[in-house]
Amino acid sequence: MSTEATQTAEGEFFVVGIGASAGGVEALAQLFDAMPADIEAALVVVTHLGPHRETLLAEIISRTTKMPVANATHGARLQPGHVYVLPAEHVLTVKGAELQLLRLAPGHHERNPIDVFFTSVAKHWRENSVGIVLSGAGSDGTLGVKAIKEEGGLTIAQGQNGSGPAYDSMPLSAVASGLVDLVLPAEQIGAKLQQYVRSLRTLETIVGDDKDRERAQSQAGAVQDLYAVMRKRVGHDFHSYKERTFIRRVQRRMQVRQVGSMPEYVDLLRQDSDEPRLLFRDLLIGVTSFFRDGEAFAALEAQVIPQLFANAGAGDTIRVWVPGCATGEEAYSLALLLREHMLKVDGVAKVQVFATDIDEPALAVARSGRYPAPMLENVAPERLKRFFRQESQSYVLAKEVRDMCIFSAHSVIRDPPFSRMDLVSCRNLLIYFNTELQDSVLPVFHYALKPNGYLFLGPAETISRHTDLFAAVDKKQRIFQRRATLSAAGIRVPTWVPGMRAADVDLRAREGSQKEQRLRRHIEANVLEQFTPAHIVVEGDGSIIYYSARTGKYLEPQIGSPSRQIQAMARRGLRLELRTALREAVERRQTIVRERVEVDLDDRVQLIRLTVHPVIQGDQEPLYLIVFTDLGRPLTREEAAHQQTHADGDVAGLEHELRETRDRLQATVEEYETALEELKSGNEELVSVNEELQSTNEELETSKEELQSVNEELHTVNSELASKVDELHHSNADLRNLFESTQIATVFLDRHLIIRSYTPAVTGIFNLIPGDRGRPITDIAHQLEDVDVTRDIRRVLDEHTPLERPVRLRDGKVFHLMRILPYRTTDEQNDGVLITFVNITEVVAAEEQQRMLVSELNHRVRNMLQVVIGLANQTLHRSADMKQFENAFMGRVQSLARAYELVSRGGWHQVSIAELLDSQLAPFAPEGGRYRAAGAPVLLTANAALAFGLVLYELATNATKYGALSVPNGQVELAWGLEARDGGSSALVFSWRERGGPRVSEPTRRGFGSELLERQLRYELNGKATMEFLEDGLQVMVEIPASSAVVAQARPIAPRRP
Amino acid sequence: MTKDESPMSEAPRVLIVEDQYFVAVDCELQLRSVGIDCVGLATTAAEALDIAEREHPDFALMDIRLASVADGVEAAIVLYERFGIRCIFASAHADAATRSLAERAHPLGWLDKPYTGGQLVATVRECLSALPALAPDASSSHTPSSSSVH
Repeated sequence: MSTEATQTAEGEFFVVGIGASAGGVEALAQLFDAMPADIEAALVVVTHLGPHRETLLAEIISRTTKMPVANATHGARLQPGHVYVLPAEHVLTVKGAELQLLRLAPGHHERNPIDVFFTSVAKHWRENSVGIVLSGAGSDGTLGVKAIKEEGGLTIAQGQNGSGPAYDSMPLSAVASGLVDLVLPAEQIGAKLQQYVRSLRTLETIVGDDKDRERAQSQAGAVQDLYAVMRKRVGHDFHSYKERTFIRRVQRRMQVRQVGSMPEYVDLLRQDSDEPRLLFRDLLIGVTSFFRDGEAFAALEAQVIPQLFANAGAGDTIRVWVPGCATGEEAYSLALLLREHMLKVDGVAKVQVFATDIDEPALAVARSGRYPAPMLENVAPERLKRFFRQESQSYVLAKEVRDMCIFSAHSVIRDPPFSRMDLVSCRNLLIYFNTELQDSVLPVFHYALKPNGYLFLGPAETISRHTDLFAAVDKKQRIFQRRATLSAAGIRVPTWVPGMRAADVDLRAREGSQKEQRLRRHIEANVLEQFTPAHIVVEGDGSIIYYSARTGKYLEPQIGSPSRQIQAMARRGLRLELRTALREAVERRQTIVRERVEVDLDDRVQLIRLTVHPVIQGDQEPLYLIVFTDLGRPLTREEAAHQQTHADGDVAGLEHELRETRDRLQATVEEYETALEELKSGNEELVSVNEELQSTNEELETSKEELQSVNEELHTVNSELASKVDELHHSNADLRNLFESTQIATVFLDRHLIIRSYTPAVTGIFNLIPGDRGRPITDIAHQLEDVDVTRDIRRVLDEHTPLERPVRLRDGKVFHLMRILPYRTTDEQNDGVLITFVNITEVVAAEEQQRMLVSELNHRVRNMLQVVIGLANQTLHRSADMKQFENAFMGRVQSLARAYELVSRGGWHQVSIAELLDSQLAPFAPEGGRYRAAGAPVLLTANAALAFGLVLYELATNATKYGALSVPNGQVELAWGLEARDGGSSALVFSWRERGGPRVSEPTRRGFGSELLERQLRYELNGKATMEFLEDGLQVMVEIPASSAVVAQARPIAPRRP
Repeated sequence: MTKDESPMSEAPRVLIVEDQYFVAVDCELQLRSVGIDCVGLATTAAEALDIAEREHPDFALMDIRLASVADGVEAAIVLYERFGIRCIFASAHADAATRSLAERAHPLGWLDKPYTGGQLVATVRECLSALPALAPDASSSHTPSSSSVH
């Protein structure tokens, strides 16, 4: 509510909003032509103007009025006696006395600029606002008129006169809302406005000034009378209303009824049957607004809505009926509340709001779901934000709420009611009805509701005497619940018989009268039947509603479908006369008589007198009695012709005929003119339809272009998407191939340990089948030994750190490295785990082998050291002094080292005999050419090579000291080979022959070396050696069983047990 | 050298099982120098059993790895079970499994290669003190189960 300060400071003059659209220029010209220039009001013209169109409207208006006319500018102060015009591509509102001009964003346009302006005027100027809706198409202005009416302003719509409005849907929509005070032709509006403004200024004096004390007192008395009359007539006490508002509204009714003083109006209220109701309506106007009576809606939200949902299952539909929904605010408010509740709770029932009204234009407004911002002041900001979309200065309901509501034309009085409703919300409709009608409507609601359904009425409405049908839930907020006690038979459904007329009702009523009357009527009927001329009763348009007896002579049925049209049924000759006579009677409302009318009766002609007599009954459409009176007997055609010629000579007869002909001509001309007018208006309609079609076509063109561009965009997006999908496809295929090729068993789990996917290799570890996707891993048996996989996975999920663990399958042979990693989504969130199993069986085996090799090496080194200790002891035992020991021992150790080198190079397995010779003999003949070696390729075992190497060393040492190598030209011949022996075995035979050395004798050559040669060969290799001391040098023959010295075929190195 | 030549029937008698010639002769030399008779040197398990059956040594010095397929542990077990002869095992590297396997032979002791002559003698002496028949004052009657074979 605006402040009182605004009222007094700016209540000096009025602000008149004038809305116009198609055909508005003409209407505006008429309006301003007749507008008094000294009017104490600022006039603001708001029109629908297409974008990009410069307007000359201000100029056109200024031609018709003396008042200054200007295009509205932002921040301009309103002044009385000035005219402001909305420029194109702008929206206009007022804020106090300042105009607020808002430029629209390019490409946008405000659909309802008139509503926007009117609502802002209503808000700021309240009783001092006036809204005028002129010619235009659509329903803009209807909501604005409503807003002005609510604030106590005056509303006017352009009414019919000879030339306008050119387009009446806009004013008609406003009128249909029932909120227009005056419907006036454009040229009469100015005078009425002036009158209204002046009278209200007088009212100021009445209410606020006590200069004229006496008059004020009489007015005060009249106001008290008013209260009393209203209490008596409509049962509502207005004492609690603000007196100022009350009087202003009374004043306006007085204006409308053209009553000069308050006491006169009180009299009118007492006498007129309708006026108290109309005043009552005016006083309570505006209650259909978003969440008007917030407390009542809050009560409904708290007490009823949860109950509705509690009683309905998820598949059910909650049905709500809003009869008399008008422009839809109440229905949408309910839908909003229901929607909010739906959003709060999961899996609830659907909601269907049936909103009905008899007023089609209002329904059109409701269906559009578009309201100017000031109309939504009662809507909480969060609701506004959540459920409305702002478009310029208007708000449009969200689709989710809009779709819950179905608007349809329906009369709660005439049409059969809806049924099985959970809630009927009928606020401020009953106040428009008288008690009788209310009594018939409440049972309808009772019928429409489900058992225990709710009824929600307006604050001034009650269930009156129907406490048997409804129980109060919240008496103060008018929430009631249906009582289930009434049986189905008791339902009082309204009946409405189409076509039943008041006359019929009267006739029936009389039938119930007394016997005497019945007799009289019987006689009358007989007389009528027997002695009256044939007659019929028709309506003004010629349709017959009553036949007397014996009309067949004058009427005959037509070819084709049955008709009640008198013109169609009249016999030849009668038709023309009948039409003109009826027409005349209708126009003049007088009895018309036509003499000597010829009626063709097959071969003869009957002359009759035709009488058409209007039967007027009160204010009803009159009926016409047509009486056919025969003049003499039927004549033959000759007689008739004779009479005709006879009559020709009669001047009076001719004159009479001429007059009749003229009359007929006149009637024909009038008919023609009417037809022409109809054609004109038809043409106009067509023009407007054409214009509409054109604009629709333009819109469609725009839409088409938009669609095309959207389509192109979609194309682009689609191709992008397709290429992305393609990439994804490839990546997927790559990944799949990778998984399959690596044979790394991988399982993907989500955070609940549900298997998302896995690679085929996993089936060797987990007993998975393809259907196991989506099952928890804990359900699946695995082949791992002594591993609690679930515990490990949970640890990784909890700690977000990867885990690695070698695991063995139950068969004991296969080893895997199990890795559990947190699964990271692209946005670095943990979403489950990834388990991989890498087969490490070979690695484990290799490690084992490595370990054994090291162990073996350790063994051999220790063994060798033991051998060296033994060798040292033996050498020491046989050495004369340290010098001798050192030479012998060092040489032997070095020989051993050389043999070991070969043995280790041969993998501790095999040594070629030729290589052994080379390595052992090389130190003793650095110059070369002293040895001649020949033999088959033979591989010695490691032990044999070591033993035999030492033998060779001893032989070479001796040869260097005493034998062939002690002189420059001595030589050694070496030969070896495998020879067969008894029993299928074979032996390695080796010969050492020295030549060209000094003469040798046995004793000098025997020593540690030869003893070693023999004993070691025998001990370790089971072999034997023979020595012969020949003339030219020593000959040694060695024979070793092949089984203990020779490798049969090459083998890879293999560890031995220690 | 005097001890070598004196026929001391009370002297402990040892069988040396060792496939390395130099090691075997060194052991023989070392033991003989402290008055222990060597009844023979064997390179294989079979050879060891032959000599044992023939000579009935008081104990054996047993290398674990031999020139034969059957290793020293197996030979030792047979020696003990068949002749009641216990062994001192000499090995370059005996793991726990081998040692537990060798338990069946009731080994007298273990010598880790490489060992010196002093270590060998000390170990042998210590082990001999555990044999009742060879305790300082004991007589030479032994070979508990020789009658049961062949």
